[in-house]
Amino acid sequence: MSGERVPVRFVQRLGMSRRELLKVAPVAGAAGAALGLGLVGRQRPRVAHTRGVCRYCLVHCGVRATTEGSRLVRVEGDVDSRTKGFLCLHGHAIPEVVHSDRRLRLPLAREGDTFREVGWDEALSRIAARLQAVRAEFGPEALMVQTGWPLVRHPLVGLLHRFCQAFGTPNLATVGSFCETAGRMGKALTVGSKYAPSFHRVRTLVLWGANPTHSLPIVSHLVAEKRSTGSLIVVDPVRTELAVIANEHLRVRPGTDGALALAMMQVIVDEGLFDRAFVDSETVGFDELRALVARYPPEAVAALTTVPREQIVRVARTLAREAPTSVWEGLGIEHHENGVQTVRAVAVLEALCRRSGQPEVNDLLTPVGPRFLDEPLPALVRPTTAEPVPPPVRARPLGYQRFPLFEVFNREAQGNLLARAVLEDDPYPVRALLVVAANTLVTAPGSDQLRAAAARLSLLVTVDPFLTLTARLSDFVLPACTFAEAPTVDATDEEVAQGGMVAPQHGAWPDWKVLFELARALGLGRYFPWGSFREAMEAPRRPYRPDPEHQPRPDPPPAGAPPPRFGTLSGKLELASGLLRRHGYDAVPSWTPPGEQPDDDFPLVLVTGPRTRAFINSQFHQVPSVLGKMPEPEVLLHPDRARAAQVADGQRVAIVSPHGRVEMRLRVTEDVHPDAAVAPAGWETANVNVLHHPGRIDPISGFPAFRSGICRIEPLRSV
Amino acid sequence: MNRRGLLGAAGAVAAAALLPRRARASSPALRPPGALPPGEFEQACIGCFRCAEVCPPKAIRFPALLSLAAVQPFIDARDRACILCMRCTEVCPTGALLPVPASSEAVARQVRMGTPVLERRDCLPWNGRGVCRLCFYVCPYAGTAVELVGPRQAPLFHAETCVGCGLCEEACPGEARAIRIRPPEGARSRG
Amino acid sequence: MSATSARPPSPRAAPSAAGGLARARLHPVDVVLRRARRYQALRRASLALSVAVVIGLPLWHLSAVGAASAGLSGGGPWAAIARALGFPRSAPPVVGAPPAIDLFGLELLDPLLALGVALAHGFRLSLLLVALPALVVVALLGRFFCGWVCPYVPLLAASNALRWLLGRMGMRLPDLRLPRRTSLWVLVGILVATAVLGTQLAPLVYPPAVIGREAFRAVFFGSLGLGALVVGAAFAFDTFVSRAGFCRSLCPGGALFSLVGAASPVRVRRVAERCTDCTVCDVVCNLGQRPMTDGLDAGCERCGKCVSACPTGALTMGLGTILPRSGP
Repeated sequence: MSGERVPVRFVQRLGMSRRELLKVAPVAGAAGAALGLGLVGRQRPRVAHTRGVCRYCLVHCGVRATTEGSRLVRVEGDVDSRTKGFLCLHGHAIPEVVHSDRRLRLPLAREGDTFREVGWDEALSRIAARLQAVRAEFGPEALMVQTGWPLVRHPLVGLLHRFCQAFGTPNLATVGSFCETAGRMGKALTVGSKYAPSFHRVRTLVLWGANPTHSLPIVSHLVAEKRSTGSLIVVDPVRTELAVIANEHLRVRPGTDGALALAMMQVIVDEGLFDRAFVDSETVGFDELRALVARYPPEAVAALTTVPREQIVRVARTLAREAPTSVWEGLGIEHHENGVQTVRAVAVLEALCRRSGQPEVNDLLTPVGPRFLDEPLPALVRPTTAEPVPPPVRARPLGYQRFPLFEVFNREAQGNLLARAVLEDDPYPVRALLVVAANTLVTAPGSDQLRAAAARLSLLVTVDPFLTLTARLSDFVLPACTFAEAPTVDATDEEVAQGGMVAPQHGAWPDWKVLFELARALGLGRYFPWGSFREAMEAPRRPYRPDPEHQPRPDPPPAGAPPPRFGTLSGKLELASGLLRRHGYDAVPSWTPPGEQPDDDFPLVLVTGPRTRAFINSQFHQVPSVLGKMPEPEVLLHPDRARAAQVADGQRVAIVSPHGRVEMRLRVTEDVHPDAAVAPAGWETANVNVLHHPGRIDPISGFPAFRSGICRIEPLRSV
Repeated sequence: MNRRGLLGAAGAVAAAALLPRRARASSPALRPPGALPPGEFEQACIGCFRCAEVCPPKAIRFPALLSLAAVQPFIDARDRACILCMRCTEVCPTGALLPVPASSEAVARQVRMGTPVLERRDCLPWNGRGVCRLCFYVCPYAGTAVELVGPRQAPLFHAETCVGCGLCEEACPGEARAIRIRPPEGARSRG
Repeated sequence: MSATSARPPSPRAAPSAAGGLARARLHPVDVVLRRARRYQALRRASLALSVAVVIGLPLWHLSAVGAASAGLSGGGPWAAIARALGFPRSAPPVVGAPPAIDLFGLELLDPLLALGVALAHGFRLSLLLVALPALVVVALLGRFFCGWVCPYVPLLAASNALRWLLGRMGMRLPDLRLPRRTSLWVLVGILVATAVLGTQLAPLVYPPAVIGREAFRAVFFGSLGLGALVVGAAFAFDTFVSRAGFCRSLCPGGALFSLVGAASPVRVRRVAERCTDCTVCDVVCNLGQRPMTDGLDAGCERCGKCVSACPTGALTMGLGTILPRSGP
């Protein structure tokens, strides 16, 4: 018994006899082979990773690009970068754009109705010859250079300034002609600088005519967070995603925002909710303002703006009491004939909510102090760069006389006046247009007039990676690289894509190279002696000397006074703007109704151009993954209006205005203001810009009144 | 997870499953009662510590070593012996400890935690230094597993009836430490 | 020449909009989970319960296990009740920790541990039966335990918070993204080694087993063992090398659950019309899933953080067809 193991009960156990082992061995061998195969896998091409920056918008999200061999296969957010890995669908679509088979491969030259592919040398020399002919006949100012969104705050604009100066034309126009400038002006005329709210310092955040969910998705969740950590108030004719979760949504009638702001100011003044000491010591123009707002009591404004009186009063009290308050405004209030004054009204309303001793809750994006008048905005690079400095240009840019304040803030041409200059030679003839990274004939106001002007131009050149509508009407199309293919020295110098994420595709050139070579073809090579963009950026520069006649100086502060806190003419927060008064405009933010009011034939207020998530203006219409997000444009209409017009959701309809007609699909929704029809811009095949009268512009900024036209919706007649 | 990788992985696991099982040579420590033989115990024990959790005297412990044996429970009878309550066998999830009813007969029949090994040189009655009888008193199977013989009432252990609980080892006084329960040999080492 | 020859300062004439955003809080920890609050509350309660069990059961047994009720046929009132109900049992009614828990005689065993025993010791039907409830839950709900039960999750949350804190203090922490397949190889390696060596290896590295055992050891004996080192190494890995790297790319249990739960009908669904591509869902996900581009697969643990973070409510948790498989 001893030494014997006590049998312990088991349940089944897989026992193995030798025979079974022999049977199993081949199976095990096969499995082992499968394992080996799985480990080895198939051969993969060389994979490389680069860090870079997406330049589709101004956030400049850090990206990590993956290339396999020579192909860019994936772009994703870089978690090590400033933006911590966030990246919207546009950044993700970079590989698709770079490798799109719709990209231009070589320069195109027009021959009758078609294009012929030509070499770069031929294209540039022919363009240079025509430019010299135009200059000889009409003067150098007959050339206009128009840039688009991709070049906003891009150092290349400084070089374009230099090119224009070397050629002798003052006419460089950017997106500033109808984007952002009015907002910047309205704010800078009040506090001396453009600014943006700092989310975690602000307590009450107002979105006024802005929709960051679509235009700046990366901060959308930070804005939404305000709802729980403070107050979020949305003023918008449409019930946007953020309006849904906001503490208050004021569904204002388009074009009446200025009156709404004045009514709120009236409540604050009337109930004494402002900081008297602050107003007395740090602002000017309070009495004038008080006289103005007394004409806008909430009761009267409620009917005009369709915002209930109780809500106006309640929100005004919230803004004043739950400081710090900041307003994020957008194109929704800028694209009106009263755009600048509306932004002024909103900025002054915000100023009235300030308290003494309250720390600044806005990030001032341009330096505080009178220096703002010295800094060239929006380009961050001074126009005069290295020696040799091009001689000063004698002619004045388009819009110099008509929009003097626009000139003060932008020092460039007002591009909305191009058609008039081409068709009517007013103020002087313009006969050559160089379009760089823009789709002017689709996105600029007055599309019909621009089309007629394009026919009259002696030379139209487009520089773009794709064949846009503007390119299709051009004499020459030069294929440009995307930002992913070209090295860039970013203005913040934080992220530098040394060699680009991927090599230039086909025969495309980076924009800087096109510019340098065009200059050389024109005999202006001595002003562009550099072999690379970086070299150009690092060339030593002469300091910029402002034009004393053109740049108003602020009044010097009295002796012994502390340095001014705000960059305005008076050094104080200007409730009544001295600069506006000097140029003959209303110093206080008066409100004027839109020039076109709905009537029986056109009962709706027409709002065009609100940002869609899918597209940036006319970009990305050629990218399948993005187009899939919004395959066709849709006009939004309230159910009551749809019933009255006898149209149904999903039906194709015509938007008819006194100036044009566009067909698109109808989307019936209660989210839109009952008096409005809202349609997106940027579609070549359904260009809503034709629905607006090109003469309806803001007298201060020259901005078009895209958001307060008139129209009706009607069903398409079935043939 | 692409298909090739998945297939390879499944193949490897299948191959491993079909290999004959190899058991370890020997266990270094006493296992809780009802344990599978050494080698098999390590195959089945997942270190869930439930046996130790329910052990009333907290006799079952886990090693603090950096070794593969770190998840396996053991009893150090010198420190604390098993009281044969059999609760640990009720809670083992994988059958590393097989259920044993908590009755004298069942325990005597089924439990073999180890073999008693007496070092007579150290045992007080055996080397003439005194009368002790502690191991006999604490043994649950006194008379069959251990009996007292001779004028000094010295213990005589019978391995075939001893369950190996180690109460004798725990009780053996500090100067002596004569009785030790030796863990069972591994299956391999036999024959 | 009067031109200055000095290199001009970097062209930061004015901070751009991007500069403002640099100061905004853009970090997974800053993303507010504002929607689906009840879901998150339920999940946190479930995790809290799991941690409570891991720490609470040993504490209870420490006080309840008395020598007074010892003896060959002992047992307190619980045992009496159990015997009265027909379970001949003297052990307490609830024993163990989440990977191997005994609830009033109902045995629940983690499938990974059961698989290890089957490979090393031999397949038994009883092993399959005790692992079956977990297998069924995972088959229905996907990699559910990782997000709802695993006691490592609080440590993962601490690791994420520590990463954020160190990042705020200026430290640049890498985020090495090992391919997710790595966890599958870890699983295979462990299972093969288990079979070959004839001893259980998963309990040495599988966090629920390790944490359960170490918590028990700490409560009962006031000491920690090898497992604490393993958990500490995983925590250090998650903090200093790869965000949630252990769960995402190393945990063998996670790999097994992903396989078993590959056909789960419960998944995160995206309403494309409401999506604004803000990437918040992608960034907040611990396991590297890509809800924004519908890149969700078996690796999703249904924690619902993406659903809660979406500022426009474009994501919901619901029933749907089999998940598409995404790339590595």
